Amino acid sequence: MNNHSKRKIWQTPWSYPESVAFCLGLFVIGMMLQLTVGPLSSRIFTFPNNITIGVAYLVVLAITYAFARKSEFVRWLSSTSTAITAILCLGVVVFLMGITPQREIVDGHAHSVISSLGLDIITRTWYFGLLYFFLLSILGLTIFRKAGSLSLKNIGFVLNHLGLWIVLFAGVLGSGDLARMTMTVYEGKIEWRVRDANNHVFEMPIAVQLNDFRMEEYPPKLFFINTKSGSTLPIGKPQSLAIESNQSKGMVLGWEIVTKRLIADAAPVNASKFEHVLMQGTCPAAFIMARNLATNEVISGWVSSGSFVFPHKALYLNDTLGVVMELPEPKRFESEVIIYTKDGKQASAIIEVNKPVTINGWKLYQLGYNEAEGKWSSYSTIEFVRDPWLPIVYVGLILLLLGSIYMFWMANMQNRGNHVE
Amino acid sequence: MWNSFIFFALAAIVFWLGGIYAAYRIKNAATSAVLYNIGTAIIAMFVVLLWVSLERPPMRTLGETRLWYSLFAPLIGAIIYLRWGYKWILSYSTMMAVVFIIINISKPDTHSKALMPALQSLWFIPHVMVYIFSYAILGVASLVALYGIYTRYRQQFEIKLLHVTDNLVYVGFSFLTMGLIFGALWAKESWGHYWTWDPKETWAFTTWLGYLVFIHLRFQHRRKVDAALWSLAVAFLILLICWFGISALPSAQNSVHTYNQ
Repeated sequence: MNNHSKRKIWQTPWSYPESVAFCLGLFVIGMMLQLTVGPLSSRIFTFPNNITIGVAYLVVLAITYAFARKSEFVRWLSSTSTAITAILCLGVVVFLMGITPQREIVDGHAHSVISSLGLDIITRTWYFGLLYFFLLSILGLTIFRKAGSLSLKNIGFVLNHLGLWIVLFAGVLGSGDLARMTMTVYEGKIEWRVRDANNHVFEMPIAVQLNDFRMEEYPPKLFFINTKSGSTLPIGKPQSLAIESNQSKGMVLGWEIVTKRLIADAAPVNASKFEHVLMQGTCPAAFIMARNLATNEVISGWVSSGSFVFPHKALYLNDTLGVVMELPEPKRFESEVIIYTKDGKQASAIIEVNKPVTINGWKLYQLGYNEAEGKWSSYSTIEFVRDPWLPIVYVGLILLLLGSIYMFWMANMQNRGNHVE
Repeated sequence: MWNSFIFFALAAIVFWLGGIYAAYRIKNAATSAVLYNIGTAIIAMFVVLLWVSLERPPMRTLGETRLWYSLFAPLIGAIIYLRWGYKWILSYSTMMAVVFIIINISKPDTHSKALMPALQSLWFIPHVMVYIFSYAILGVASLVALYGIYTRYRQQFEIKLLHVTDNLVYVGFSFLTMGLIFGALWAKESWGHYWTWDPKETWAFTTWLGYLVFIHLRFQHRRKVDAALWSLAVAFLILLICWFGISALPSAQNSVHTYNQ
């Protein structure tokens, strides 16, 4: 910082006071636009607008650098002090996003002060947009400036900065072309209609036939409840007992619980008996024996989680203490489907969580099922996602990844101390 | 498995204290490093046994991530001790590990065996592992920074200390970046998009920006020691909110990253 105390603000060379003033100015202008014009439309960055905007932006940035790189203004834009200020300002806005619950759907109506300031849709606000744009631009100019003296020595700089720049650039330009649609398809049926987040129905060039929806579940768990209040015990820190097999044993609240018989697909055959049956809506049931360790009193009986067909069954140990079985948690679920496309392709596939299927530029994800019916769900929900800008974002991510590996590698070899302020 | 944790923990603490004692009293780096690392190895053994008994990587609950922290903090402390010869880092990182051990013994929210389908992915281990390692390193860096602030106050500050934080932050930040990228790649496979501004993502990004400020400060202003030390303290505060505070925030009630049972 040369002559920091003597220099007045707006006197060159510019530094922190100007950066802070500039970023605050962007924020204030953004806020005013937010209050008067309302949120940014996601339509700005749809094809082909985003291509036009992207190319125009790059051209302006390149021309600015080519013709004005020696100017004080561009020097200041690509300086570290401006970078630090811009990162801090964007950080504050992202921090606001972190403490305010964000709305998913922007319906255009501001319901409260928070909404009219755009605090619940920060990524769609003008001030976020302007600060993002500012950071992207100074990052771009800095890369241009350093690219002139490209060498092995600043490979880390290039990887990290260019990688980040590409991710930020392609991420925002591609945001309008990102399509996410949800399809609900019933077992044995073919479906080609999908809905977007606003519940508008579209017809897809891809149809899905659901042959089978399957689910594996974790072993059921037993909980102790206060039968008067219904709360699980011990209050605040409920203990559970997983029944993995017959003869599973466990101790909870001074009772020893032994599972005598576990049936994964059971149904009540009379008021006090469960059997294995083959039908829709079966649920796990266990015959358990509970022994009070203090009094040696033994109580036994059936417990069952119940399902959308059968009621649950609890075992009462005394006036206030009962044992219940929780609905089993899903371990994995998948849809066995046949996919048809308009251009005549046909493919059998299994769509599972974390294992999407790609076809004609669309990725199909296992999203959900009818939770009331659990493993007996008659339908599966599948999400269709298309993101044509993804490859560019991935290029940026890979550069950034290489940059971080380089950074790790070089961490101990930096030249400390020789740097001139 | 968790019922026997206290025995592993006590044994580890005894060895750690033995290592520290050897560093200060016997002044033999090899002895102290061996003793100290045996302590760390005992925790590592517990992690392995826990992994086997759970039949899944122990990285899901907060209690399990704390366990990793009490493994990595002394590991990194030992590396710094061997590399730069700072004895005090051993006591600091032990203290940190012990705090996490005590929390885990007194409040073990760790028991569920179930792993929800979205977490069953090849990305799970690298993503969480890289993050925990990064948090541990950045945590140690912040301890060094706090020590630096203290020595500034006592006017005994050595600039060498900032070089330690530089190295630590470079390593920690590179892992932070990798964690973020792995998370993005995983999110694309799991939820359909690489970045959805989920509250945890928002906070992870804020944390990342915080350390980015520190790195640029150090690059541009080598002599602004206080700004560097304090920015590191603030960045770690954000990291802690991202890690623990998030489940208490009203903004994060629908986050896919809240893992309380």
